[in-house]
Amino acid sequence: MNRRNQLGTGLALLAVVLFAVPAFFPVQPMLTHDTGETAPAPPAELRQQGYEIVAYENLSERGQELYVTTLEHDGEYRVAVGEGAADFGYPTDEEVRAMYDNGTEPGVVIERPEDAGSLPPSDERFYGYPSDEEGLNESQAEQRRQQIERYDAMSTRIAQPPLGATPQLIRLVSVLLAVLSLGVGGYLLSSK
Amino acid sequence: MSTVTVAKKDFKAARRSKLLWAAAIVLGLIAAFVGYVSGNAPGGDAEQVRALFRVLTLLLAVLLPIVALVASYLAIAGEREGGGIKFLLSLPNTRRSVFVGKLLSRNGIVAGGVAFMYVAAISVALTRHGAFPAAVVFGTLLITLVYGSTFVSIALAMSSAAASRSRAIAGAFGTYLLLVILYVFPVVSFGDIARWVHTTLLGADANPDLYNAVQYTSPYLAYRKAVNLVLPADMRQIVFYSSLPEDVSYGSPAANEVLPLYLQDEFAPVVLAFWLVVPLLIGYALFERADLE
Repeated sequence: MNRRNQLGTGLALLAVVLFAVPAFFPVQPMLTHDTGETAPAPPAELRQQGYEIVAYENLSERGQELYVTTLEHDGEYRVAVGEGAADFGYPTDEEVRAMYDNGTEPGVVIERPEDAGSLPPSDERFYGYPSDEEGLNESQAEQRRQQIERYDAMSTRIAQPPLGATPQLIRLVSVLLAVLSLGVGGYLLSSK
Repeated sequence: MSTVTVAKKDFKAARRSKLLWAAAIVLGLIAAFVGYVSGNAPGGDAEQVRALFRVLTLLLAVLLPIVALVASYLAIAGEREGGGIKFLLSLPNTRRSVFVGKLLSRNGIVAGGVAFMYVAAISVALTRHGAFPAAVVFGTLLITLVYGSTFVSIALAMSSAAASRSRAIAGAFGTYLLLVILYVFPVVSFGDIARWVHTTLLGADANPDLYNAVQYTSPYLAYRKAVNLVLPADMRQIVFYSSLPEDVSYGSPAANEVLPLYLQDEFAPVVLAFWLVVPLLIGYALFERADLE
């Protein structure tokens, strides 16, 4: 009986610790680079839409590295705060919402070199050929496709890592174990 | 004194139940998981926590009646069928002390389950968002406890009236179906029945407010509306769309104010109070007259 009490008390205390632990180790925000967004318009139109266009050659070495690595990671790449590039702004979610409200697009559009063979392929999407009203033939449409792929939009922001990221999962496991521990401990203490 | 004795004895027996502890753990795990996946609401940390508790109440609206009904449906019927009622009613216990003692005990059990869920949710809210909007947390907790009590009252009343375990089970199942499931999955809604009687049988002009008033007799909808009382206007749960003028924004206080008084959020406590008190009175009256031989 005494052993049951001790175990129950131990589990209840463990639950308290597991509930509290995540508070002392908060998940650190990360700098996110996302090229998944598509900006399918000519450069002049993109500027009008509030995009900032930067030539790839004009990016700093770190900026170029981050852009390339993002493309190599299926369009999304996160680094710790302090490891970003000065070329990019990293607004918070609230600042991003405010930018949308003001008609400004977060992130930049990167103008890839004419000959971008050394870079991973752009992940801009070209949604089919233009309609007949635009009066473009097939070769003109191909030129449009190449232009769209040359101007690659990349959004950058500072945000919590996604729920599937390891730091987040550790917190989830901690709380779930806390609940389990409290429940079993409570049962052992109550059923003596 | 005997009421307290009955309540203590009953509570002690219930807290030894593995099933009830398992239910509490499942509720806690659900709350923790909801807290974990929530966080996409617009606004700051406090808004995220408010949104978390809003989602939690939506889940509790469906889950808590199950817990309350399961925890209470055998409170008296089980004693009757097992013969324990004779020992319970031996001097100095009266039927009233048994009834009230069981009521207190079962409410305590359900409150324990809710508290378990809230501990998990509050923990996640504090560690993940670092915010604690006390008015929303304690407000929803209080309303949830009242909501749980209404189903304890209903289950206890049926348990008092039922002479056997099977009847008590049927009563609990029927209650959940009629008071919750038919509102979550409105295959046949009471509002539609009222509309059919009103317009087809009686030939009157359609009156959405009347049909919504019939719907509002459900503790499930009353709970959802009562939660609005402690949430900001933009998080309000709109229940009676058909009574709202088209030009009213759902996220504005006007979405409640333009409704007739008997459809407003402020009327929800009246509905909950009805379900809290009336089943108890009927159940107690039936228990007093029941032949327990």
